[in-house]
Amino acid sequence: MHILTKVFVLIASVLSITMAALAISYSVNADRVTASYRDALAKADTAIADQAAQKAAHGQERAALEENLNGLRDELASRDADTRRLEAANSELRIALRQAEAGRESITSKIAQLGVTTETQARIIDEYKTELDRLRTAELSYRDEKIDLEKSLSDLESQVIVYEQVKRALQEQIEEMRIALNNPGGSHDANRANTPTEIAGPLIRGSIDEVRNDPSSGDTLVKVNLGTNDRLRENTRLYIHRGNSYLGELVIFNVDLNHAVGRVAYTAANQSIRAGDQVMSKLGS
Amino acid sequence: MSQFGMQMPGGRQHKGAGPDVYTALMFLGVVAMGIAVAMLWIAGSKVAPEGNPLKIQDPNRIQLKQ
Repeated sequence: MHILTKVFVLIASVLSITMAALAISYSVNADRVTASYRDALAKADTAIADQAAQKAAHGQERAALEENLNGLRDELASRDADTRRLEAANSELRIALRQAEAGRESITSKIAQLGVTTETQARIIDEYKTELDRLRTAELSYRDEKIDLEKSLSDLESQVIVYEQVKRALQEQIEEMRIALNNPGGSHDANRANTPTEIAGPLIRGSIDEVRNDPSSGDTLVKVNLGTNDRLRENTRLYIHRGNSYLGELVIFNVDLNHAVGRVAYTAANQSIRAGDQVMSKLGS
Repeated sequence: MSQFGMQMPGGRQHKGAGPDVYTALMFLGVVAMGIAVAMLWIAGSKVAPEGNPLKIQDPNRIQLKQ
């Protein structure tokens, strides 16, 4: 065998040993790398599955969170609206408070003014009371004076009535004396003096108070509510009527101040004289 | 072996044998094995830790040359 052949054999054996070692190590490493690769792939698959599951869970959780978020946003919006509404109500209440405070201040000032006014009015009332008392005292004194004056006036009126009666009596006497002077004598004058006469002057009206029959003469006697105060005198004629009915005539034969008694001289047909009938001094207006 | 007188090529050359076909074959073999070892070395260095093809990977900690 040639030396080269032996060298080559030696080299080949060495190379074969080396190749064996390398093949062994390579195969082992390749196997392990492959196994590791497979494990990594499995882990990657697992991770991908986990990631997908987590993504799904995340998606669900996100959906739930978004739903919760929407709910919270809605609630926030409602709370904001409530907040705005409450702020508006607060503003309105503040305004009302200011208005109420202003009203209270005005009322307080008005109360103070009313107090002053009340005091003033109390003083005025006191003064009015004092003035009223004074006026009442004055009125009482005036009334007393008035009573005194009325008494004096009634006394004077009574005197005037008496004086008028006296004057009337004197006038009658003067008239009688004049008649007597103008007709000094004769029965004709005496007849004329006994003829009842009407009362001169304004119309005199009165009423009959009492009617009585004179048993001695059979005449009807009448009492009227007229007297010398009414210019009535003896031997004067009065006409009796009831409403618009003429009843008759009477002649006065007795007179005093406020009453007179007369005798019915004429009674109309189918008529009778009774109390309450009217008398007048002359017929017509 | 010589006593059997095998009729294999190159069997007659007992003195000062020169390179023969076996040498060539061995040469080719060595070359091929060299090439194979080289390729195996290169491939092994790619899957072996630290690029040393004779080292074994730790199954729990695979390290590849960057």
